[in-house]
Amino acid sequence: MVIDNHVHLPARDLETTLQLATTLGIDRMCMFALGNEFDPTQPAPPPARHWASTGAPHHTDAWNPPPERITASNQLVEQLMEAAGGRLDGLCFVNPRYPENALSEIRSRVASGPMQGIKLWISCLASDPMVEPIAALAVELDVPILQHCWNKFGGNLLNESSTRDVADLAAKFPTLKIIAPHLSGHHEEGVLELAPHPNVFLDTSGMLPDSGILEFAIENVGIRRILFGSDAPLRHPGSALARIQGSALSSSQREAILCGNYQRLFKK
Amino acid sequence: MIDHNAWLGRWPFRDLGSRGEVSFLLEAMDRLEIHRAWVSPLDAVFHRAPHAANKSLMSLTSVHSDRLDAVPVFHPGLADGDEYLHRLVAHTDRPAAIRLVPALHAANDRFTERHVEALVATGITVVLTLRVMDARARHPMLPIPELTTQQVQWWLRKLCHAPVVLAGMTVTEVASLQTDILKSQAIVESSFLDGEESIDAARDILGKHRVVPGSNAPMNFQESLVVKWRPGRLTPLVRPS
Repeated sequence: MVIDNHVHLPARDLETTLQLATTLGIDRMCMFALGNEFDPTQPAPPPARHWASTGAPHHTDAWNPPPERITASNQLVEQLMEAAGGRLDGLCFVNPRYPENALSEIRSRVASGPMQGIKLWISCLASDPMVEPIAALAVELDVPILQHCWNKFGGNLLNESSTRDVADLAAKFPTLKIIAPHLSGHHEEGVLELAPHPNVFLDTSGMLPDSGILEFAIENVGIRRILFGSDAPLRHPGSALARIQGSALSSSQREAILCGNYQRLFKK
Repeated sequence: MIDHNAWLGRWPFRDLGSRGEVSFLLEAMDRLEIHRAWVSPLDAVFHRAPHAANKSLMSLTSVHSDRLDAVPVFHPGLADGDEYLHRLVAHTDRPAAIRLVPALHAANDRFTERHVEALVATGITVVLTLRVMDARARHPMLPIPELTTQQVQWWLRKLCHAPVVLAGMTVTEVASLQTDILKSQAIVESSFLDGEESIDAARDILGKHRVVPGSNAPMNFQESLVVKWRPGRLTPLVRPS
Protein backbone atom coordinates (compact mmCIF):
# COMPACT_ATOMS: atom_id res chain seq x y z
CA MET A 1 0.00 0.00 0.00
CA VAL A 2 1.25 3.47 -0.93
CA ILE A 3 -0.57 6.55 0.38
CA ASP A 4 0.17 10.10 -0.78
CA ASN A 5 -0.57 12.42 2.11
CA HIS A 6 -0.33 15.70 0.20
CA VAL A 7 -2.32 16.23 -3.00
CA HIS A 8 -3.96 19.37 -4.33
CA LEU A 9 -6.96 19.52 -6.62
CA PRO A 10 -6.39 17.71 -9.94
CA ALA A 11 -4.58 19.64 -12.62
CA ARG A 12 -6.98 18.42 -15.26
CA ASP A 13 -9.55 15.92 -14.11
CA LEU A 14 -9.91 13.27 -11.46
CA GLU A 15 -9.65 10.39 -13.89
CA THR A 16 -6.23 11.53 -15.12
CA THR A 17 -5.03 11.95 -11.54
CA LEU A 18 -6.21 8.48 -10.56
CA GLN A 19 -4.73 6.95 -13.70
CA LEU A 20 -1.31 8.46 -13.02
CA ALA A 21 -1.50 7.28 -9.41
CA THR A 22 -2.31 3.77 -10.60
CA THR A 23 0.61 3.80 -13.03
CA LEU A 24 2.92 4.87 -10.23
CA GLY A 25 1.56 2.38 -7.72
CA ILE A 26 -0.08 4.97 -5.45
CA ASP A 27 -3.15 3.39 -3.94
CA ARG A 28 -4.64 6.26 -1.99
CA MET A 29 -4.29 10.04 -1.81
CA CYS A 30 -5.25 12.70 0.68
CA MET A 31 -6.55 15.77 -1.17
CA PHE A 32 -7.38 19.29 -0.09
CA ALA A 33 -8.23 22.66 -1.57
CA LEU A 34 -6.57 25.99 -0.86
CA GLY A 35 -9.63 28.12 -1.46
CA ASN A 36 -7.95 29.81 -4.39
CA GLU A 37 -8.18 27.22 -7.13
CA PHE A 38 -11.22 28.75 -8.73
CA ASP A 39 -13.88 31.32 -8.21
CA PRO A 40 -17.33 29.79 -8.54
CA THR A 41 -18.63 33.03 -10.02
CA GLN A 42 -16.02 32.96 -12.79
CA PRO A 43 -15.55 30.67 -15.81
CA ALA A 44 -13.69 27.40 -15.22
CA PRO A 45 -9.91 27.65 -14.76
CA PRO A 46 -7.65 27.04 -17.74
CA PRO A 47 -6.42 23.49 -18.30
CA ALA A 48 -3.41 22.09 -16.55
CA ARG A 49 -0.87 22.57 -19.28
CA HIS A 50 -1.60 26.24 -19.17
CA TRP A 51 -1.22 26.12 -15.40
CA ALA A 52 2.06 24.35 -15.73
CA SER A 53 3.52 27.06 -17.89
CA THR A 54 2.09 30.06 -16.10
CA GLY A 55 1.89 28.97 -12.48
CA ALA A 56 -1.18 28.00 -10.50
CA PRO A 57 -4.13 30.37 -10.97
CA HIS A 58 -3.81 32.17 -7.68
CA HIS A 59 -6.14 35.01 -6.90
CA THR A 60 -4.49 38.20 -5.77
CA ASP A 61 -6.01 37.58 -2.35
CA ALA A 62 -4.95 33.93 -2.38
CA TRP A 63 -3.68 34.14 1.17
CA ASN A 64 -7.06 35.24 2.49
CA PRO A 65 -9.90 33.41 0.70
CA PRO A 66 -13.39 34.42 1.84
CA PRO A 67 -15.84 31.94 3.38
CA GLU A 68 -17.89 31.38 0.22
CA ARG A 69 -14.80 30.33 -1.75
CA ILE A 70 -13.62 28.07 1.06
CA THR A 71 -16.98 26.36 1.29
CA ALA A 72 -17.13 25.89 -2.49
CA SER A 73 -13.58 24.47 -2.57
CA ASN A 74 -14.27 22.02 0.23
CA GLN A 75 -17.49 21.01 -1.46
CA LEU A 76 -15.53 20.22 -4.60
CA VAL A 77 -13.08 18.04 -2.64
CA GLU A 78 -16.01 16.13 -1.16
CA GLN A 79 -17.42 15.58 -4.64
CA LEU A 80 -14.06 14.27 -5.84
CA MET A 81 -13.80 11.97 -2.81
CA GLU A 82 -17.18 10.52 -3.62
CA ALA A 83 -16.30 10.09 -7.29
CA ALA A 84 -12.95 8.43 -6.56
CA GLY A 85 -14.46 5.24 -5.28
CA GLY A 86 -12.63 5.18 -1.95
CA ARG A 87 -9.18 6.17 -3.23
CA LEU A 88 -9.30 9.72 -1.86
CA ASP A 89 -9.22 10.98 1.69
CA GLY A 90 -9.81 14.67 2.24
CA LEU A 91 -8.73 17.51 4.47
CA CYS A 92 -11.00 20.43 5.25
CA PHE A 93 -9.34 23.71 4.27
CA VAL A 94 -10.17 26.68 6.49
CA ASN A 95 -9.11 30.29 6.94
CA PRO A 96 -8.57 31.18 10.63
CA ARG A 97 -9.48 34.79 9.86
CA TYR A 98 -13.09 33.62 9.50
CA PRO A 99 -13.50 31.58 12.69
CA GLU A 100 -17.23 31.04 12.37
CA ASN A 101 -16.89 29.60 8.89
CA ALA A 102 -13.77 27.64 9.89
CA LEU A 103 -15.37 25.89 12.85
CA SER A 104 -18.59 25.28 10.96
CA GLU A 105 -16.73 23.76 7.99
CA ILE A 106 -14.75 21.47 10.30
CA ARG A 107 -17.83 20.35 12.21
CA SER A 108 -19.82 19.59 9.09
CA ARG A 109 -17.08 18.05 6.95
CA VAL A 110 -14.81 16.37 9.52
CA ALA A 111 -16.86 15.71 12.65
CA SER A 112 -20.01 14.81 10.73
CA GLY A 113 -18.68 14.43 7.20
CA PRO A 114 -16.25 12.35 5.17
CA MET A 115 -13.03 14.35 5.70
CA GLN A 116 -10.17 13.14 7.88
CA GLY A 117 -8.41 16.30 9.04
CA ILE A 118 -7.79 20.00 8.60
CA LYS A 119 -5.61 21.98 6.21
CA LEU A 120 -4.17 25.40 7.03
CA TRP A 121 -2.19 27.41 4.48
CA ILE A 122 -0.97 31.01 4.58
CA SER A 123 -3.93 32.97 5.91
CA CYS A 124 -2.02 33.55 9.14
CA LEU A 125 0.98 32.15 10.95
CA ALA A 126 0.58 28.88 12.82
CA SER A 127 1.67 30.69 15.96
CA ASP A 128 -1.10 33.28 15.62
CA PRO A 129 -3.81 33.13 18.34
CA MET A 130 -6.38 33.01 15.52
CA VAL A 131 -5.39 29.37 14.99
CA GLU A 132 -6.12 28.37 18.57
CA PRO A 133 -9.89 27.69 18.30
CA ILE A 134 -9.20 25.50 15.27
CA ALA A 135 -6.41 23.66 17.08
CA ALA A 136 -8.68 23.13 20.10
CA LEU A 137 -11.38 21.64 17.88
CA ALA A 138 -8.84 19.40 16.15
CA VAL A 139 -7.74 18.10 19.56
CA GLU A 140 -11.35 17.52 20.54
CA LEU A 141 -12.01 15.58 17.33
CA ASP A 142 -8.57 13.91 17.49
CA VAL A 143 -7.76 14.76 13.88
CA PRO A 144 -4.50 16.14 12.44
CA ILE A 145 -3.89 19.60 11.05
CA LEU A 146 -1.68 19.82 7.99
CA GLN A 147 -0.05 23.23 8.46
CA HIS A 148 1.87 24.53 5.45
CA CYS A 149 5.38 25.65 6.37
CA TRP A 150 8.73 26.51 4.77
CA ASN A 151 11.99 28.08 5.74
CA LYS A 152 12.76 29.89 2.51
CA PHE A 153 16.07 31.43 1.71
CA GLY A 154 15.25 35.06 1.05
CA GLY A 155 12.16 35.04 3.26
CA ASN A 156 8.73 33.47 3.39
CA LEU A 157 5.56 34.84 1.86
CA LEU A 158 3.29 37.08 3.86
CA ASN A 159 1.80 34.99 6.69
CA GLU A 160 3.66 31.88 5.56
CA SER A 161 4.61 29.83 8.61
CA SER A 162 8.14 28.68 9.30
CA THR A 163 9.07 25.62 11.34
CA ARG A 164 9.39 27.97 14.30
CA ASP A 165 5.69 28.87 14.04
CA VAL A 166 4.76 25.20 13.84
CA ALA A 167 6.94 24.43 16.85
CA ASP A 168 5.14 27.21 18.78
CA LEU A 169 1.74 25.74 17.91
CA ALA A 170 2.94 22.25 18.84
CA ALA A 171 4.13 23.50 22.22
CA LYS A 172 0.83 25.30 22.90
CA PHE A 173 -1.19 22.17 22.02
CA PRO A 174 0.95 19.16 22.91
CA THR A 175 -1.83 16.70 22.09
CA LEU A 176 -2.60 18.28 18.73
CA LYS A 177 -1.29 16.20 15.83
CA ILE A 178 0.36 18.47 13.27
CA ILE A 179 1.74 17.56 9.86
CA ALA A 180 4.51 19.95 8.80
CA PRO A 181 4.84 19.42 5.05
CA HIS A 182 7.63 20.22 2.60
CA LEU A 183 10.55 18.46 4.25
CA SER A 184 13.10 19.78 1.75
CA GLY A 185 11.92 23.28 2.59
CA HIS A 186 12.55 22.80 6.31
CA HIS A 187 16.23 22.09 5.74
CA GLU A 188 18.28 20.52 8.49
CA GLU A 189 17.70 23.42 10.90
CA GLY A 190 13.92 23.12 10.57
CA VAL A 191 14.01 19.37 11.13
CA LEU A 192 15.96 19.95 14.35
CA GLU A 193 13.52 22.64 15.44
CA LEU A 194 10.57 20.27 15.07
CA ALA A 195 12.32 17.19 16.46
CA PRO A 196 11.58 17.89 20.15
CA HIS A 197 7.82 18.00 19.47
CA PRO A 198 6.53 14.42 19.27
CA ASN A 199 3.15 15.65 18.06
CA VAL A 200 4.66 17.02 14.83
CA PHE A 201 4.92 14.81 11.77
CA LEU A 202 6.87 15.74 8.65
CA ASP A 203 5.81 15.09 5.09
CA THR A 204 8.21 14.59 2.24
CA SER A 205 6.48 16.85 -0.28
CA GLY A 206 7.76 20.00 -1.86
CA MET A 207 10.58 21.15 -4.09
CA LEU A 208 12.69 18.92 -6.22
CA PRO A 209 13.55 15.81 -4.23
CA ASP A 210 16.87 16.68 -2.61
CA SER A 211 19.11 13.82 -1.64
CA GLY A 212 20.12 13.38 2.00
CA ILE A 213 17.42 15.33 3.85
CA LEU A 214 15.13 12.32 4.33
CA GLU A 215 17.87 10.28 5.98
CA PHE A 216 18.67 13.29 8.17
CA ALA A 217 15.02 13.57 9.21
CA ILE A 218 14.77 9.88 10.05
CA GLU A 219 17.88 10.11 12.18
CA ASN A 220 16.61 13.15 14.08
CA VAL A 221 12.83 12.82 14.39
CA GLY A 222 12.49 9.06 14.01
CA ILE A 223 10.92 6.94 11.32
CA ARG A 224 7.43 7.00 12.87
CA ARG A 225 6.93 10.71 12.28
CA ILE A 226 7.46 10.91 8.53
CA LEU A 227 4.78 10.63 5.85
CA PHE A 228 5.03 10.39 2.08
CA GLY A 229 3.62 13.42 0.29
CA SER A 230 3.97 14.61 -3.29
CA ASP A 231 2.42 18.10 -3.59
CA ALA A 232 0.93 16.93 -6.90
CA PRO A 233 0.05 18.31 -9.34
CA LEU A 234 2.53 21.10 -8.58
CA ARG A 235 5.12 18.32 -8.34
CA HIS A 236 5.22 15.06 -10.23
CA PRO A 237 4.08 12.37 -7.78
CA GLY A 238 6.53 9.97 -9.36
CA SER A 239 9.38 12.33 -8.69
CA ALA A 240 8.25 12.51 -5.07
CA LEU A 241 8.19 8.72 -4.93
CA ALA A 242 11.69 8.69 -6.38
CA ARG A 243 12.87 10.49 -3.26
CA ILE A 244 11.70 7.56 -1.14
CA GLN A 245 13.12 4.97 -3.50
CA GLY A 246 16.41 6.79 -3.98
CA SER A 247 17.09 7.37 -0.29
CA ALA A 248 19.04 4.89 1.78
CA LEU A 249 16.12 3.24 3.59
CA SER A 250 15.34 -0.26 4.79
CA SER A 251 12.17 -1.89 3.50
CA SER A 252 10.47 -1.40 6.87
CA GLN A 253 11.37 2.31 6.86
CA ARG A 254 10.02 2.61 3.34
CA GLU A 255 6.80 0.90 4.34
CA ALA A 256 6.41 3.19 7.36
CA ILE A 257 6.79 6.33 5.25
CA LEU A 258 4.73 5.18 2.30
CA CYS A 259 1.83 3.86 4.30
CA GLY A 260 2.16 2.73 7.92
CA ASN A 261 2.63 6.13 9.54
CA TYR A 262 -0.30 7.59 7.63
CA GLN A 263 -2.54 4.74 8.67
CA ARG A 264 -1.56 5.16 12.29
CA LEU A 265 -1.96 8.93 12.26
CA PHE A 266 -5.30 8.88 10.51
CA LYS A 267 -6.45 5.72 12.29
CA LYS A 268 -7.06 3.88 9.02
CA MET B 1 18.23 6.55 -21.83
CA ILE B 2 20.86 9.26 -21.38
CA ASP B 3 21.07 11.50 -18.32
CA HIS B 4 22.09 14.87 -19.77
CA ASN B 5 22.65 16.60 -16.44
CA ALA B 6 24.64 14.73 -13.79
CA TRP B 7 27.55 15.66 -11.55
CA LEU B 8 30.33 13.97 -9.61
CA GLY B 9 32.05 15.34 -6.54
CA ARG B 10 31.19 17.31 -3.44
CA TRP B 11 28.85 20.18 -2.59
CA PRO B 12 30.13 22.44 0.16
CA PHE B 13 26.76 23.10 1.77
CA ARG B 14 25.41 19.58 2.07
CA ASP B 15 26.77 16.16 2.84
CA LEU B 16 26.09 14.08 -0.25
CA GLY B 17 27.76 11.02 1.27
CA SER B 18 28.88 8.61 -1.40
CA ARG B 19 26.34 9.93 -3.90
CA GLY B 20 28.95 12.04 -5.61
CA GLU B 21 31.21 9.06 -6.30
CA VAL B 22 31.53 7.25 -9.60
CA SER B 23 30.68 3.86 -8.09
CA PHE B 24 27.40 5.19 -6.67
CA LEU B 25 26.44 6.77 -9.98
CA LEU B 26 27.24 3.66 -12.01
CA GLU B 27 25.34 1.42 -9.61
CA ALA B 28 22.27 3.69 -9.83
CA MET B 29 22.54 3.77 -13.63
CA ASP B 30 22.65 -0.02 -13.76
CA ARG B 31 19.68 -0.38 -11.44
CA LEU B 32 17.62 2.22 -13.29
CA GLU B 33 18.65 1.22 -16.81
CA ILE B 34 20.22 4.58 -17.62
CA HIS B 35 22.74 3.83 -20.32
CA ARG B 36 24.92 6.92 -20.31
CA ALA B 37 25.33 10.04 -18.22
CA TRP B 38 26.87 13.40 -18.98
CA VAL B 39 28.83 14.26 -15.86
CA SER B 40 30.45 17.48 -14.66
CA PRO B 41 32.65 18.13 -11.64
CA LEU B 42 30.52 19.63 -8.89
CA ASP B 43 33.60 20.96 -7.10
CA ALA B 44 34.44 23.13 -10.11
CA VAL B 45 31.33 25.22 -9.54
CA PHE B 46 32.92 26.75 -6.47
CA HIS B 47 36.54 26.83 -7.47
CA ARG B 48 37.93 30.09 -8.78
CA ALA B 49 39.35 28.08 -11.65
CA PRO B 50 37.83 24.73 -12.66
CA HIS B 51 41.01 23.27 -14.15
CA ALA B 52 41.93 20.82 -11.37
CA ALA B 53 38.39 19.54 -10.93
CA ASN B 54 38.05 19.07 -14.69
CA LYS B 55 41.30 17.13 -14.77
CA SER B 56 40.10 14.77 -12.04
CA LEU B 57 36.80 14.36 -13.83
CA MET B 58 38.40 13.47 -17.16
CA SER B 59 40.62 10.95 -15.47
CA LEU B 60 37.62 9.32 -13.76
CA THR B 61 35.44 9.20 -16.84
CA SER B 62 38.17 7.89 -19.11
CA VAL B 63 38.02 4.61 -17.16
CA HIS B 64 34.25 4.39 -17.71
CA SER B 65 34.00 5.85 -21.17
CA ASP B 66 31.36 3.29 -22.11
CA ARG B 67 28.92 4.83 -19.59
CA LEU B 68 30.11 8.31 -18.64
CA ASP B 69 30.71 11.33 -20.85
CA ALA B 70 32.85 14.07 -19.35
CA VAL B 71 31.36 17.55 -19.45
CA PRO B 72 34.06 19.82 -18.02
CA VAL B 73 33.18 23.21 -16.63
CA PHE B 74 34.45 26.23 -18.53
CA HIS B 75 34.82 29.61 -16.84
CA PRO B 76 34.79 32.12 -19.70
CA GLY B 77 35.84 35.00 -17.47
CA LEU B 78 39.36 33.66 -16.93
CA ALA B 79 42.28 35.02 -18.89
CA ASP B 80 43.41 31.66 -20.26
CA GLY B 81 40.05 30.88 -21.88
CA ASP B 82 41.22 30.49 -25.49
CA GLU B 83 44.15 28.32 -24.62
CA TYR B 84 42.23 26.22 -22.11
CA LEU B 85 39.40 25.62 -24.57
CA HIS B 86 41.91 24.51 -27.17
CA ARG B 87 43.40 22.06 -24.68
CA LEU B 88 39.98 20.68 -23.74
CA VAL B 89 38.80 20.03 -27.27
CA ALA B 90 42.18 18.71 -28.39
CA HIS B 91 42.24 16.23 -25.53
CA THR B 92 42.40 12.58 -26.56
CA ASP B 93 39.01 12.07 -24.95
CA ARG B 94 37.31 15.10 -26.44
CA PRO B 95 34.45 15.96 -24.07
CA ALA B 96 30.85 15.31 -25.06
CA ALA B 97 30.03 18.87 -24.11
CA ILE B 98 31.29 21.82 -22.08
CA ARG B 99 29.34 23.25 -19.19
CA LEU B 100 28.88 26.91 -18.28
CA VAL B 101 27.61 27.99 -14.86
CA PRO B 102 27.21 31.73 -15.40
CA ALA B 103 25.40 32.54 -12.14
CA LEU B 104 28.36 31.34 -10.10
CA HIS B 105 31.21 32.19 -12.42
CA ALA B 106 31.19 35.95 -12.50
CA ALA B 107 31.43 37.39 -15.98
CA ASN B 108 34.46 39.45 -16.81
CA ASP B 109 33.85 42.04 -19.52
CA ARG B 110 37.41 41.78 -20.73
CA PHE B 111 37.29 38.08 -21.51
CA THR B 112 33.80 36.56 -21.35
CA GLU B 113 32.39 37.59 -24.71
CA ARG B 114 35.55 36.65 -26.62
CA HIS B 115 35.82 33.29 -24.91
CA VAL B 116 32.17 32.49 -25.50
CA GLU B 117 32.73 33.20 -29.20
CA ALA B 118 35.70 30.85 -29.12
CA LEU B 119 33.56 28.23 -27.43
CA VAL B 120 30.89 28.50 -30.12
CA ALA B 121 33.59 28.20 -32.79
CA THR B 122 34.63 24.79 -31.45
CA GLY B 123 31.23 23.38 -32.47
CA ILE B 124 31.01 21.51 -29.21
CA THR B 125 27.71 21.20 -27.33
CA VAL B 126 27.32 23.70 -24.49
CA VAL B 127 25.44 22.84 -21.30
CA LEU B 128 24.18 26.20 -20.07
CA THR B 129 23.40 25.69 -16.39
CA LEU B 130 20.68 27.93 -15.02
CA ARG B 131 20.66 26.47 -11.52
CA VAL B 132 21.99 23.57 -9.51
CA MET B 133 19.42 23.85 -6.74
CA ASP B 134 16.07 25.42 -5.92
CA ALA B 135 16.70 29.04 -4.94
CA ARG B 136 14.48 28.63 -1.89
CA ALA B 137 16.84 26.01 -0.52
CA ARG B 138 20.07 27.94 -0.79
CA HIS B 139 22.52 28.16 2.04
CA PRO B 140 22.75 31.67 3.56
CA MET B 141 26.38 31.79 2.44
CA LEU B 142 25.29 31.43 -1.17
CA PRO B 143 23.20 34.55 -1.74
CA ILE B 144 24.04 34.86 -5.42
CA PRO B 145 20.94 35.71 -7.45
CA GLU B 146 19.74 33.37 -10.16
CA LEU B 147 20.08 34.40 -13.78
CA THR B 148 17.40 36.86 -14.84
CA THR B 149 15.31 36.33 -17.95
CA GLN B 150 17.36 39.02 -19.67
CA GLN B 151 20.60 37.26 -18.76
CA VAL B 152 19.37 33.93 -20.12
CA GLN B 153 18.32 35.74 -23.30
CA TRP B 154 21.82 37.22 -23.56
CA TRP B 155 23.39 33.77 -23.26
CA LEU B 156 21.00 32.28 -25.79
CA ARG B 157 21.88 35.04 -28.28
CA LYS B 158 25.60 34.52 -27.74
CA LEU B 159 25.25 30.76 -28.11
CA CYS B 160 22.72 30.79 -30.96
CA HIS B 161 25.11 29.06 -33.36
CA ALA B 162 26.05 26.32 -30.90
CA PRO B 163 24.16 23.20 -29.87
CA VAL B 164 22.98 24.01 -26.35
CA VAL B 165 21.42 22.02 -23.53
CA LEU B 166 19.64 24.26 -21.03
CA ALA B 167 20.16 22.63 -17.64
CA GLY B 168 17.99 23.38 -14.63
CA MET B 169 15.30 25.29 -16.53
CA THR B 170 11.77 25.39 -15.13
CA VAL B 171 8.63 25.11 -17.20
CA THR B 172 7.76 28.70 -16.38
CA GLU B 173 11.07 29.75 -17.92
CA VAL B 174 10.43 27.54 -20.94
CA ALA B 175 7.15 29.37 -21.47
CA SER B 176 8.54 32.86 -20.97
CA LEU B 177 11.64 32.24 -23.11
CA GLN B 178 10.07 30.07 -25.78
CA THR B 179 10.72 32.54 -28.62
CA ASP B 180 14.40 32.81 -27.72
CA ILE B 181 14.79 29.05 -27.27
CA LEU B 182 13.08 28.29 -30.56
CA LYS B 183 15.29 30.79 -32.38
CA SER B 184 18.36 29.03 -31.02
CA GLN B 185 19.47 25.41 -31.30
CA ALA B 186 18.82 24.84 -27.63
CA ILE B 187 17.15 21.86 -26.06
CA VAL B 188 16.03 21.60 -22.43
CA GLU B 189 16.87 18.83 -19.97
CA SER B 190 14.17 17.75 -17.58
CA SER B 191 15.55 17.84 -14.04
CA PHE B 192 13.69 21.01 -13.04
CA LEU B 193 10.59 20.24 -15.13
CA ASP B 194 9.03 18.72 -12.08
CA GLY B 195 5.32 19.53 -12.13
CA GLU B 196 2.95 16.68 -12.88
CA GLU B 197 2.62 17.76 -16.50
CA SER B 198 5.66 19.98 -16.89
CA ILE B 199 7.48 17.75 -19.34
CA ASP B 200 4.38 17.51 -21.51
CA ALA B 201 3.94 21.27 -21.31
CA ALA B 202 7.56 21.89 -22.29
CA ARG B 203 7.26 19.45 -25.18
CA ASP B 204 4.07 21.15 -26.32
CA ILE B 205 5.86 24.49 -26.32
CA LEU B 206 9.19 23.47 -27.83
CA GLY B 207 8.46 20.27 -29.72
CA LYS B 208 9.04 16.82 -28.33
CA HIS B 209 12.58 16.45 -29.63
CA ARG B 210 13.75 19.50 -27.73
CA VAL B 211 13.17 18.11 -24.24
CA VAL B 212 15.60 15.44 -23.03
CA PRO B 213 16.13 13.47 -19.81
CA GLY B 214 18.30 14.91 -17.04
CA SER B 215 18.50 14.30 -13.30
CA ASN B 216 20.76 16.86 -11.59
CA ALA B 217 22.13 13.90 -9.60
CA PRO B 218 23.55 13.68 -7.00
CA MET B 219 21.86 16.85 -5.73
CA ASN B 220 18.61 15.17 -6.80
CA PHE B 221 17.74 11.58 -7.61
CA GLN B 222 18.22 9.72 -10.86
CA GLU B 223 15.11 7.79 -9.87
CA SER B 224 13.22 11.00 -10.53
CA LEU B 225 14.43 11.09 -14.12
CA VAL B 226 13.35 7.52 -14.69
CA VAL B 227 9.90 7.91 -13.26
CA LYS B 228 9.22 11.05 -15.28
CA TRP B 229 10.27 9.42 -18.53
CA ARG B 230 9.07 5.87 -17.89
CA PRO B 231 6.29 6.30 -15.32
CA GLY B 232 5.66 2.64 -14.63
CA ARG B 233 9.32 1.70 -14.29
CA LEU B 234 9.72 2.62 -10.64
CA THR B 235 6.46 1.08 -9.44
CA PRO B 236 7.77 -2.39 -8.62
CA LEU B 237 10.79 -0.85 -6.92
CA VAL B 238 8.77 1.51 -4.76
CA ARG B 239 5.91 -0.69 -3.64
CA PRO B 240 6.75 -2.43 -0.36
CA SER B 241 6.50 -6.18 -0.64
